[in-house]
Amino acid sequence: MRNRRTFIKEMLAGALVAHTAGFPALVQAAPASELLTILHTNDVHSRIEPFPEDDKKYPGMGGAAPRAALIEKLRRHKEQVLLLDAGDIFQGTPYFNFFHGDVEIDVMNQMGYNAATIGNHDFDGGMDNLARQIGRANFPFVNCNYDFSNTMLAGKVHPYVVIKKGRLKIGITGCGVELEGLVPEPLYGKTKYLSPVECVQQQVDILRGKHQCHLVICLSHLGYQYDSAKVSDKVLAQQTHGIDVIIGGHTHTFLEQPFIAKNNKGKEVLINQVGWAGLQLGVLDYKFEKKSGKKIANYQTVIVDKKSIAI
Amino acid sequence: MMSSIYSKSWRVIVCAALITTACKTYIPVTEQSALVKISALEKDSAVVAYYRPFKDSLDKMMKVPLAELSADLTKQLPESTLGNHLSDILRKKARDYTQQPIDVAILNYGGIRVPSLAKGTLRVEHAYWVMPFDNYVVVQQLTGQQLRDFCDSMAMKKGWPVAGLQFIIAPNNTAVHIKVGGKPLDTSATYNVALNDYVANGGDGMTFLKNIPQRETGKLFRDAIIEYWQEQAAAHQPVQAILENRISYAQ
Repeated sequence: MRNRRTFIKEMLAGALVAHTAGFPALVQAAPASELLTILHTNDVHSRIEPFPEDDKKYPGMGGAAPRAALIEKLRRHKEQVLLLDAGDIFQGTPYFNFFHGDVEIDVMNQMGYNAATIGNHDFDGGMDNLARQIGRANFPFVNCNYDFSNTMLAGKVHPYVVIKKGRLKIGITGCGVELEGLVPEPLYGKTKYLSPVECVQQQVDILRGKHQCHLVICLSHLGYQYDSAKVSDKVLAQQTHGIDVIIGGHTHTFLEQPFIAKNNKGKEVLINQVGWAGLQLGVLDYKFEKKSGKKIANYQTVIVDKKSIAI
Repeated sequence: MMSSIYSKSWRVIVCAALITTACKTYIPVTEQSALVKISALEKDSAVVAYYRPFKDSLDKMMKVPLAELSADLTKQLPESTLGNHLSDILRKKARDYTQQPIDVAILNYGGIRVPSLAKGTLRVEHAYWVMPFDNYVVVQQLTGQQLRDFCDSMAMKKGWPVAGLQFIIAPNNTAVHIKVGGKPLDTSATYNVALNDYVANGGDGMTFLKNIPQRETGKLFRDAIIEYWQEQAAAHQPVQAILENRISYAQ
């Protein structure tokens, strides 16, 4: 269980809190490496309970309680964990029809989510309901390409957040899909959709420049890819620079493994998405090393091993 | 206790050359991804305890049995049993609600929110899973030309669930051999088309429908599904659907 206070500590002073407790002051040199695990979901669509045992496709699968147990177990095994969601938290089961997102947000609070972005179906209860649910969440909602300034969400959604984990600074921004023609206009009101590529690049530049983040993540509800020229996670990756990871959603895409795209400076961007309905949890383990150098001038990628393990 | 199996692949970024400076910073050197399938073998009891009262109050409404489904229904493109079943319901119930003939019913594919319904007992909750949105049944009167354009738009989207309508998707992704009620589409005729209000209001890219007047029924499509299932059970009729080449690709 998290409350707003621990969330604020983690946001502002996570490094100090975590490390002054564990290390004798001053004598301890900075560790040579840091580990970070990103856990992620998308398009959970109000699936609080597991699918019923008689479901044709997903019998007994998914569910908030098994997900919470799994996340707890991973937190015990991993050093530093971020838990993120790429939107469409709401809509899909009677929990949303009758309780309007209360249950979804409460279980995410219980699981200790660190950030989420807004999906098109998160507008389904209208702007007042979304504002109320964002207010109930113990974690920030990030989006930089919806202009909420003339709506009741003004000031409630962050263009980016910086989360400190150990000695790492993780920058997180978010973006969402075009609403016109997709979401009934009365539900999104005066929200203005802006170009995800331009808006995300602006935020990433701030996260890379001003905040000197060690890892930059974009929570995207654009969709993985399209036949048309419509902006997607792949397009976003290719037309920007500075993003390390895109956690995607919207297209309910089950990826066997993350897709590695190249950004507009030739560097790799990892794109991942884990289907829908809380059937799977994405796990990305990162190891950071303190390197003498700001730039990696040249690198190559090697697949070292591929195997199945039990956790 | 160790319940989840997941495949794991390591990617190691090898630094072939570094431009060294005095400034040191943290750089991601390895990343590893895993996919964890979530099954109900283990549960967080605090989470279950939290949502139990919500579940109990919902179950009173949701677990009510409505009808027996005689075979699995699945959602697919360009035509599917689940799509045919739901568009048939839309057409029949729109006729009941408006007391006028309905030539065609059209549903947006993305509006069907489960991949399948399994053979067996249909309960109220199935209607919510299939159609969670509070979309209303409406009827629009379309000219033959407008219906033809609509079919082209559906062809571009690889086919939508339809009833009373048949066409073939040509290799250039246009609709050809369009038939309404078994007869070739007449571009000078008018047709009564049942839709949900989301599509009729121009949703899912069908913006051309936005300015066409709607005959409202005041009935949620989800309630239409529930009523239909109840009616079939009361009449001892099976709930079923078959494939009949409503929309197909040119050979």
